[in-house]
Amino acid sequence: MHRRKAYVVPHIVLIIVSLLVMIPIYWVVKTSITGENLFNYPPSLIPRDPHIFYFVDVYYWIPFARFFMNSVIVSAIVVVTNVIFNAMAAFALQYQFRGKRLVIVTYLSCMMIPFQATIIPAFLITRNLGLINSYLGLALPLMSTIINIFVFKAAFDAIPQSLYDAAQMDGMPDWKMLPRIYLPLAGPAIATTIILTFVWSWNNFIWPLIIIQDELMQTLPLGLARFLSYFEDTSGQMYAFVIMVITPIIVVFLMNQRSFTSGVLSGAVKG
Amino acid sequence: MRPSLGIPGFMKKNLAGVLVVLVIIVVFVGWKINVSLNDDGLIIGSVVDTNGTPIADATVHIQEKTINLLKPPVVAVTGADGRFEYQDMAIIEFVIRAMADGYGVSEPRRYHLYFKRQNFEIRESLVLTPVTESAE
Repeated sequence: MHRRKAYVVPHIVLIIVSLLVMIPIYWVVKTSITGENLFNYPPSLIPRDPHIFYFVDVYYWIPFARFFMNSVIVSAIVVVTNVIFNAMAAFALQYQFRGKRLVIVTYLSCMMIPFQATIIPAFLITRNLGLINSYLGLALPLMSTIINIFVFKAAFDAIPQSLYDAAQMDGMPDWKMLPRIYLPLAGPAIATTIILTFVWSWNNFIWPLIIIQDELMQTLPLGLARFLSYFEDTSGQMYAFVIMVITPIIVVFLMNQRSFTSGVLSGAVKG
Repeated sequence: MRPSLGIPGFMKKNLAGVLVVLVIIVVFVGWKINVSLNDDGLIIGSVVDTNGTPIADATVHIQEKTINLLKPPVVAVTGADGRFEYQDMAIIEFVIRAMADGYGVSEPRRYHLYFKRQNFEIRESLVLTPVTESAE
C-alpha cells in the first residue's frame, strides 16, 4: 500500500509533464482541422467546426502523393542500406586487427564534421556518379551512418564470444555468421537503426534541395518549403501538411518503440 | 502451458504499431471504395424564389476556387422543376450563384468537396428574390 502511494506522486507529475509536452502537438492538430489562427485571442482549447478540408487542399494543390512516394522510396533505401552496411562495419570491428583503434578513432572524429562542411565534395561525387535527380543520389550520403555502426557494435559486443566459437567449430564460414547469428540477436539495434535513419532521411532538407532539380523528384520537406511560399505560415493547410509529414515518423516509431528504447540503452550499461 | 492465441510473436511485441498500420490500411481501403463509388463529378441542386417556388431557366454559375484565384464560371440552366445538374466536374472548392430574368442574383455560396469529381447535392436551394420585391 505504502509502495503504491509512493508511485502516485511521480506518476501525477509525469502525466502533467506529458500533457505539457503534448500541447504544441495538440495545437498543430487542432489548427489543421479548424484553421484557427495561432494568434487568435482568446485561444480556444476545444476545436470549433472541425473539418478535414485543409488536408484535401494539401493533397490536391501540390503533388503530395508523388512527394510522399519519393520520401518513402528514399527512406526505404536509406533504412535497408544502413542496416546492411552498418551491421557489416560493426561485425568487422568484432575482429582483432592492426589499426582497429585507428579505425574507431577515425569514425569518432568523422562524427564531429558537420554535414554542411562535406556538401560540396558529396555533391561532386554524386554528380560524377550520374546520380543527380535520382533516388539513389538522394539516399547516398545517408546510406551508412557512424552512430548506427556504434549501435550495432554495442549490440554485437553483448553477444558471447562462445557463440562465435561454437559456430566456427561447427564449420560456419564467417560471412554467414552475421546474417545467421549476429543479426537475429541484435533486434533492438536494428530497430534503433530503422527509427534513427528513417527520421533523418524523412526530415532531410538540405541535401535534396541541392541535388534535386526536377520538381517531381522532390521529397516532402522540399514540398513543405514550397508550400510555405503559397500560404502564410499560420494557415490550416500549413498545419495539415505538417501533420501529413510527421505521421509516418510517428507510425514507424510506434512500431519499433520498445526495441528502440532497449537498443539505445544497450550501450549504456557496459563497463 | 498457456494456450497460444495464434498471434505471431512480433505482432504481440508491437501491438500498438500493428494496430496503427491496420487502422491506416482499413481507412485507406474504405476511402478508396467510397471515392470509386461517388466520382462521377455530378453536382446537383435547385433554384427557388422566396416562396419556395422552383424557377425555370435560371442561370447557375459555378466558379472553381484554386489557391489564389477564381476560375471562369461554368454555366448550367435550370429545368422546369428548378433543378440544375453539372456533370464531370473535377473540382474541389467552388463558389456557386444563380440568376434569372426578373430576379436578382442569389447570395454566393462556397462549398468544399472531399475529393475531385465527388458527387455532390446542394441540399439547400439557391434562393432568388424578385427584382421588384427587393426594390421595395
